Amino acid sequence: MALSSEQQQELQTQLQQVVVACNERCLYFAAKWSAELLNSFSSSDDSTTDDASDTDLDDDDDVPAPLQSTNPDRKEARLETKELPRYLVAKAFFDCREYDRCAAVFLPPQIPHTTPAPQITSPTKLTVSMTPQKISSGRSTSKPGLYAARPQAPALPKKLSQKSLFLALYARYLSGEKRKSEDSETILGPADGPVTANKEVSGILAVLEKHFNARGGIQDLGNSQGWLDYLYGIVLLKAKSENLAKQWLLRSVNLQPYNWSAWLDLASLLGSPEELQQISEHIPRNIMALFFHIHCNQELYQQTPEVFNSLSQLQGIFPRSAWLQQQKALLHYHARDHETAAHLFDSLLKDHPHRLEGLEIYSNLLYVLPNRPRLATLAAMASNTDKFRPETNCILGNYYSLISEHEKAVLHFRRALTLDRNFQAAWTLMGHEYIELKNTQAAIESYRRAVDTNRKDYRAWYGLGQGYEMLECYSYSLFYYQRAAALCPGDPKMWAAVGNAYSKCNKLANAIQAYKRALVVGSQIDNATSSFASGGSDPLAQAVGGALDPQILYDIACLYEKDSNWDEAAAYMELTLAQEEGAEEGDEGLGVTQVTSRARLWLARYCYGCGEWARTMELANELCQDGVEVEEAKGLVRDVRARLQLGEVEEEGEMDE
Amino acid sequence: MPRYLTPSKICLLPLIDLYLSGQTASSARLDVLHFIASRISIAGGHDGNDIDRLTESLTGDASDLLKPLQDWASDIPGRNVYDILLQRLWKLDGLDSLHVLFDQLGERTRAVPASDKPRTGLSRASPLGQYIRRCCVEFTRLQFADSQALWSAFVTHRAPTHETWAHRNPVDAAARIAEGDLLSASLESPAQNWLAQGTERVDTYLSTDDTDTLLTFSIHQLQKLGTRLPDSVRSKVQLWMKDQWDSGVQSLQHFLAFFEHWKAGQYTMALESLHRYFDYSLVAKSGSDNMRVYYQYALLHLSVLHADFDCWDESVEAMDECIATARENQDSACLNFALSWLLYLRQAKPASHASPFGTVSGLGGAGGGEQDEIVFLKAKARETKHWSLLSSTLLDESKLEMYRNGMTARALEHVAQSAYLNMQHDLRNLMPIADLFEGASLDRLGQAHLAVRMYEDVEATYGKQSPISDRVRAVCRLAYGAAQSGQYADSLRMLDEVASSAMGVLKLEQRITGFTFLVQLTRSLRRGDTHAAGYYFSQLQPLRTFGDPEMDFEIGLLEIHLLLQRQEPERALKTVNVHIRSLKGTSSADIAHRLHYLVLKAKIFALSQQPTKCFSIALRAASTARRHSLIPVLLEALNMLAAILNDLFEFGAARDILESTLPWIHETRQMKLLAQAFVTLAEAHVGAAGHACIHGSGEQAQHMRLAETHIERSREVYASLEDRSGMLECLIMKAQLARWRNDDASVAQADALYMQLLADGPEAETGFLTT
Repeated sequence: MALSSEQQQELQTQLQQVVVACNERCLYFAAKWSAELLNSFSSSDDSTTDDASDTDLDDDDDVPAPLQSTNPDRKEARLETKELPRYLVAKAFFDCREYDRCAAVFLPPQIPHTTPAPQITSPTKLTVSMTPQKISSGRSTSKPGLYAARPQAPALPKKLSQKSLFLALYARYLSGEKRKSEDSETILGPADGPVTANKEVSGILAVLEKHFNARGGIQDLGNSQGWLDYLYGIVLLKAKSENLAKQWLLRSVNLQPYNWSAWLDLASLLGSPEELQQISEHIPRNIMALFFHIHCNQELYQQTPEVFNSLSQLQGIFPRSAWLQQQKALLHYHARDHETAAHLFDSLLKDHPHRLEGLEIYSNLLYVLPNRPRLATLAAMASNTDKFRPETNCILGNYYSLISEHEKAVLHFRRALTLDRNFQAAWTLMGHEYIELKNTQAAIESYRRAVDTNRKDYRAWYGLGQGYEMLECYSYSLFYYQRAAALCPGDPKMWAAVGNAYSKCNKLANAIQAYKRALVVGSQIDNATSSFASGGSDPLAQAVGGALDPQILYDIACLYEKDSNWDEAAAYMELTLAQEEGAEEGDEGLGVTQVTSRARLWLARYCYGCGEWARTMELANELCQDGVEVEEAKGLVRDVRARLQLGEVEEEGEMDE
Repeated sequence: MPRYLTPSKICLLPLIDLYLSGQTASSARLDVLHFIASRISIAGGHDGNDIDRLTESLTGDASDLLKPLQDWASDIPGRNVYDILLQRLWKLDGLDSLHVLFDQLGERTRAVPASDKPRTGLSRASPLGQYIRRCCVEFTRLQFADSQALWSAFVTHRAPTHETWAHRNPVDAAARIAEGDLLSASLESPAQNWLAQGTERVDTYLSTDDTDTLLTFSIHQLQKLGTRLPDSVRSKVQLWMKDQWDSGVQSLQHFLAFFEHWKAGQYTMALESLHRYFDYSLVAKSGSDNMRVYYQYALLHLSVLHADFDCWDESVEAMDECIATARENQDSACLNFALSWLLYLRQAKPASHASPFGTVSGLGGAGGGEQDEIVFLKAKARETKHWSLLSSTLLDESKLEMYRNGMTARALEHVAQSAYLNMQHDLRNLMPIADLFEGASLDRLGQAHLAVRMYEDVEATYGKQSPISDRVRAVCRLAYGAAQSGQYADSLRMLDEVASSAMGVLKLEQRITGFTFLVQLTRSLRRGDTHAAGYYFSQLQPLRTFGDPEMDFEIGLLEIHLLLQRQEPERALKTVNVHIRSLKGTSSADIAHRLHYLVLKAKIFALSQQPTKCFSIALRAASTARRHSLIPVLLEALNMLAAILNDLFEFGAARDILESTLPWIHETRQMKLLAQAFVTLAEAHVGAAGHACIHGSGEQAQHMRLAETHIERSREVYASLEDRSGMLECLIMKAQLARWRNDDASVAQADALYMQLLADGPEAETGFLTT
């Protein structure tokens, strides 16, 4: 999908404009993303900048000029020029992080922050107050009762440009976020979590609702530039009205497709590939949609060839994009192609030595591998770049976790969370650490927070299941394991966990089913599904030599044993044994392991029970050779030998007779 | 700044491991263990008196510090312990390997062994075990960034050994370079650029623990020896201190500065530093309320400081408050020390400030009298087993005994007791001063050679471990003694040498300068060079105000000699009278000094032809000196007496006296006195020949012959002293005696010598001035 030079020019122009626009609205991260993208075209740097200066109409003008130029709407442009001094001071305040002051430049002084507190202290109340809005916002009517229940939406100054309104409301929103994180106090403390909410949300909602109602509601696209819609979307998201938020965010990306933050928030709302499918009809057909798709698929663990395909297409256009490379690495990582992923991350690091985004996932990867020295080097590097970034602290936490210093690991994860409470990776990892430290309650809470932040994280769901399993609440753990398995159906560990949970709940059939699913997922045989679906009695010629997980096989066998289905049990035990050797002569199997030995012992006893003396002898002798459960095996051997001798004697006796 | 771990400490860990796993040759095991032990407790041993060595061991890099290991063989033939250790050190190839190292070491010292492997002979409580455990704990508590810094410091520390290692292990080195390239290419990590880092030396990576050790050690040295820090060490300490604002060392630093300023003679700065030290200490230890416990020590230091700068009133006030606080806090050690200081203060400046000093015994609860105070202090010291106090009190007592009650033998006995205590309880600080005291008392007994031995002993036996002030004092006395016997060059050389070791301690330098001038003055007086003598005397004037009685006395003596030489007996007499009066007034003045002045007074009278007046004075001085067994003064007085007897025509008595004193005079090594005694004896013989013998008899001739011999001897002594006037006098007498004998040749010879000496005079004068 190579672009023609005109297309590329146009794309560059648009990106430049959007970077400026994002900066004007203080959407720094979106600006950064777009700017990075702008700099990752394949063509040489000089030409692009030259082009940019040519194409940017007002580049030769003074400061006000680009501000005007960003807005094609003449009425808006006029307004913006008029309020330029005020806008400038507001922007300056924002840049100095004086959010309240920034908001006060454009918005009339509002009710002090403390007064709304009693109205929205509990999340239940919040949802109550939100429900009427869900109904109403579709239409353009306003309900007086609604306004009575929340802080009065202040009368907006009549003539205010959308940009200024956005800046003011965004400042208010951030000020609320700041207060929220201040009020939350310590991580996992009593005030942390949903108890403390952003108190500005309702006020902003009111203002925005009024604003949009005045302009014809959600259907009327003509009158908006997409920024306020984005803000409305994220505020709605905060207020937990997700469907509405999705609508508004969709509207925003349609109006302003280059606002990457909007895309990200939209992506965070999608819980499954199906939802992505549904939404894809409504998104604009441009290059940003491709980015969005890649991001969503990566987040949803869809490593289909199509995704890789579109990724490589995009990389054709943006060969130097770190983001794309990171997505590629992540995709490989999710596909358990650790070597490639590590390689990709390495080259990413080499090209962008001071870029920390996504490196916490690299550290996860190094943790899984495990590669201690490299993780240490990564940690040192990150720590050199910036000690106070959540990513850095996650890497450090992972490192300490790997060298079994879990207290320090927890410390670093907490630090990461103090820096950014929405840093989901840290919540999950902290949960893992608390599991290690046997602090189940804290672990569950951490996982819970992780899941709240990002519902697509199967590890957190799995962790929740684990936590409840440790607390012996099996049906709970089953539920969470199911969620994890649903999110990540390609991981046999999830299914095995589900099976285990089922068996704990005494649902043997379901458990066996789940285990079999795990076997299927984990097996490297293409036709495994069919062979198992037909009942497992087929000659499993290929299902040997470590192709299947002996532990799962053994577990299935045990379940069958519990169910008194002896034949099946024996069959699975045999299958377990079969993993020791290769499929053909000379192939390497797993060799003798603890599990296979246990299976052998079981089989030996089973044969003993069935009276197959020769087989019992054989198995028991093998056990003795392997040096596992020797006493038990020797006992069996003696017994069998005695019986055989007795049999011989009897035979002789019979013969004598 | 790190708290404990430093690269050099890390280097020890593999060495310990190496030692424990028995990779050293059996012959070298003990040496290696000794090496490790000496490194583990770096300032623990007594031999750590050299502060340079200490700093070097803290700042040196691996190749310097581990060099000694090259001498010991390992269990692999051809490789020494150093090689093996380097191999281990260079195996560490990243931050993670440091973690691995500490994990392994932690395994060694675990209370319950994780595996059923046999323990490797390292007990947790052993010094090695403790060291390893401490290192592990310190490493565990490091923040990540700190461990990173530690690692890079370690890389720097190790870098100088790269050449040796690469030479021995070329394969590994090449692999390392390749790997290093690979790693640094794949991950731009500063930790991997070990070769690049090795070239540029970052400043030393020191732990708080090390700095603390160094500071405490320095302060201890300062307190014990009274010296100043060498410049290099001081600048280093200051540099390190900058990194340490957060730790508790800050206050110590001010303490260090206090000593520095004090010794450099900067009174106000010292005062300021001391106050700062206590202010900051209060801040640092605000958590506990026991800071008040240390208050009396602050006052003690304050008082000592004041006293050292002659601010007696303030000193006593501070000391009074100190005593009050010490009693309140029931700190008997401090109290006793303060009391002994008060005693010292009173002795040092008795007359002018009688009232504010009060009495120690008044505070101690006994009746008046210094003897009682000493008894009180001794009893207290014995009670509390405070041996250094007891020893110093004994010394004080001996001093008192010498000054006042006069039994030098008893003083010597006290000194001996003190020396015994010092030996018994290893009070190294007090040994040199006890030697000094013993030397002084031997001097008073006229045993100059023994006294000299004692003074030499200070330098020879204790050397740098003795307080610098004692050393300087000893050398000054030695030098002055040498000057008395005419070895001026030696004496000046000695003073010169010791001046370099005074290291800028103001008081000591003043003292040394004073003694140098004294020696010069003596020499110029002997040479009859009044002009030069006047110059030196004027240089000495400012030193008289420093309140050092020993020097003050010597200056006084020489002043009178100078005046006499200038032919101003009236002024000399006046001065002597002033001195005698002032010494009489003060209770703690040395009686020997007063007697000496008395003898001088007699001499002045003798010179002004008033022998009867002079006779009684000399007799009184002699009898008192005998009673106090002050041999040198006694001899002086007896010599004087003999001269007067000569004047009174009592030649027989004079001869008897002189013949009995001559051996003693020899022993005291007072060369001038000896020469004078010979002259007097000769005069007595001549007198006897003239008055008691028949003219022309053999007896008369024998007397004359003896007189001539004595004159010749005296001339020789004078010559050795470079005493021109004495020599001239002798030559005249000799010529006269020869004339009496009608020995023209001898007369001519003596006259020629006389003329030559006179002719040499101005030349010697100018030559002398230029020196």
